[in-house]
Amino acid sequence: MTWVLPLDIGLVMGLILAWPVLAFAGSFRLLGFPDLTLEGSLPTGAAVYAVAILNNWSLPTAIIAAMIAGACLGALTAIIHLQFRVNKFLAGIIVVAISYTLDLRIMEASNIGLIQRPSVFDYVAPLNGLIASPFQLGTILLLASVLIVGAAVLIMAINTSWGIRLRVAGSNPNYARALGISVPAYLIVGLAITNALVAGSAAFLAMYQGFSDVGMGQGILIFALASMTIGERLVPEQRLPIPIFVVVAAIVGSLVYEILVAYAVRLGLAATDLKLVTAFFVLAVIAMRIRKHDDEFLEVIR
Amino acid sequence: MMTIAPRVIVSVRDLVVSFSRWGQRVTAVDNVSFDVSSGEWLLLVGHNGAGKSTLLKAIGGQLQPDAGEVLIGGRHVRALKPRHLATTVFTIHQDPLLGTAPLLTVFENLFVADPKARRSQNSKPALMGRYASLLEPIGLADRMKQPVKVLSGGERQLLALVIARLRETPVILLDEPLAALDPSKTEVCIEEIAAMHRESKTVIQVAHDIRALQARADRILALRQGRILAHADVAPKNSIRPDSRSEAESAHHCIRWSLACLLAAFIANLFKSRRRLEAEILFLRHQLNIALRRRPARLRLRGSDRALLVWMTRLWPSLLGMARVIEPATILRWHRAGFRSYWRWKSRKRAGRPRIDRDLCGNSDPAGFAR
Repeated sequence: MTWVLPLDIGLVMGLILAWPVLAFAGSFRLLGFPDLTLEGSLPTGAAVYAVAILNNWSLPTAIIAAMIAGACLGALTAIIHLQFRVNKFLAGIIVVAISYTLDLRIMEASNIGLIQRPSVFDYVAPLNGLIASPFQLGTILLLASVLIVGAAVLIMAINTSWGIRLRVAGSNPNYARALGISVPAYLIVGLAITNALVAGSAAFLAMYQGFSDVGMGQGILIFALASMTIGERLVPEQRLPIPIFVVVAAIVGSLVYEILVAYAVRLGLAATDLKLVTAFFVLAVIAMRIRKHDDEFLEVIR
Repeated sequence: MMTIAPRVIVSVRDLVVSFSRWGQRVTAVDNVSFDVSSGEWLLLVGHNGAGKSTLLKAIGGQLQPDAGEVLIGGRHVRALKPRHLATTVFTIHQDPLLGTAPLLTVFENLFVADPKARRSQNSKPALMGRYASLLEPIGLADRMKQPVKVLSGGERQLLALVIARLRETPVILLDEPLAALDPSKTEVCIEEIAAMHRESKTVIQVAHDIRALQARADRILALRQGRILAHADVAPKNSIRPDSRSEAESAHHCIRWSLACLLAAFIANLFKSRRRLEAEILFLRHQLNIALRRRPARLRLRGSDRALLVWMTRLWPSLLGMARVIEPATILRWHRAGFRSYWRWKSRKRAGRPRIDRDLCGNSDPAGFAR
């Protein structure tokens, strides 16, 4: 059963990291804000979660605290962009820099171990190994159900009149302004939500890995971009409404990417080469997209 | 929303807007004042850079004027809160991509713009039915679930106009909405604007090509280098016109109208007394002097000249009556030509005789053709 092991790891990581991808795709595609903050809000979420757990907070409280920290960072990015008229990318980079120091201050160390601490995966541990011995069925079921419920709630939220206004603010700020929609307010709230999701998933990641590290967020951006691109390539765009397409593509992309990476590492790819391979892979997918000329979606947004 | 609809809805007072462009101060709108009545359809015309779009932006509250003020419904437009402003003025831009949210469906675009959508307990099917009736004339009724990005530019512009109708704002500002459209779409577009006009909305429209519009609009305001060049009230002409009319029909109508004007003026002049006509000659000559930038001088005429001028005068007002269809510059050219031929005729007739009158205007070169 050795071939199952990469699938197992890939699925778990894919289900956890689907949230950052979802957040990135949501902010990029629906809010029109390529949000780099997730590289900072991921470790911050993990740090806040770890410290909260060390201080014997309950699990839900710790996760919510992490999400609030992420929301603050997202809102900060939006405020920096709006208040100081800083470029969107630059605003994200500034907040990532802020968050690095913040993480070290919060954790008072570069990493915190969480082994022997309570985790939500303890509750589903009996299900693990039910099918095959290394296969963590319980963990996967739990993460999948969280993701499905969360994505459903998200899709419902962006189809309410509030969500429609949020998307108008992202899709065409001029039009939104003409309709009396306060674009800054919606941007701040939108980025707060996406970064809260990132920080929430960081809590799960810290829980699963058993530690929180200040360098956790490194490479999450290229991962999110790669996953989003793959997902948008695989999911049929014409059949789905755009918001649902973005959400589904992010989840599918994240799963496919993580499983591919897990198998690639299994087949002997050095972990050090992973980022280079990822970058080439993203470029290849984008090149494929350009050659086929069937995608108006990117053209519209680019 | 305005509680009482005043007669004058948009009032522009001594408006000055200037920009700093590459270190140079450019005055885009220079001391402009005018009023727009409620329910009026005003066209703003002028060359590129005449300040039309800037004026429109200032009316829409998107620009801070350097001096002067814009009042909408008696309130300063810059003092209105964004939400309040959005229920007062709605702007459609030249670029169809600016007027709609491309990633949302047609339905969502209409839903978000519809002030009534959330207020009452409207079900989605009821809203869809309502929007379908609005989209029917522009042929988008069956594409409500498609994202706006798949529509063509013209379709998007038409959708923007439907949204403007839906907004229920008393004032609609249109910044060359027809610029990106083909002729067939232009016609549908004008129909949509006319529908808004019928719903007694105030329409202020920047237009380059006014051929199709001047038959419909109430008033034309010409701008040049940020100043008002001319006001043309086309309302009386339009009041006798039926509502829908093709361009060819309106051209015919225009010619018929001007011929009728000509005839009416000629007949009216026939019955005027000689004394009255001489007064008119004086007035015309004065105007002509101003037009030719000459010093007004006393009219010195003798019997036969005077009789000729009386007859000529019987034609001049007719020419002036055509001012609606013919450019003022052309009329001025005709006047000059008329004087020139008259002067030549007179000098031929009186050749060899001592000249009593230097010329009609008391100048040696009335038309300025010797310059």
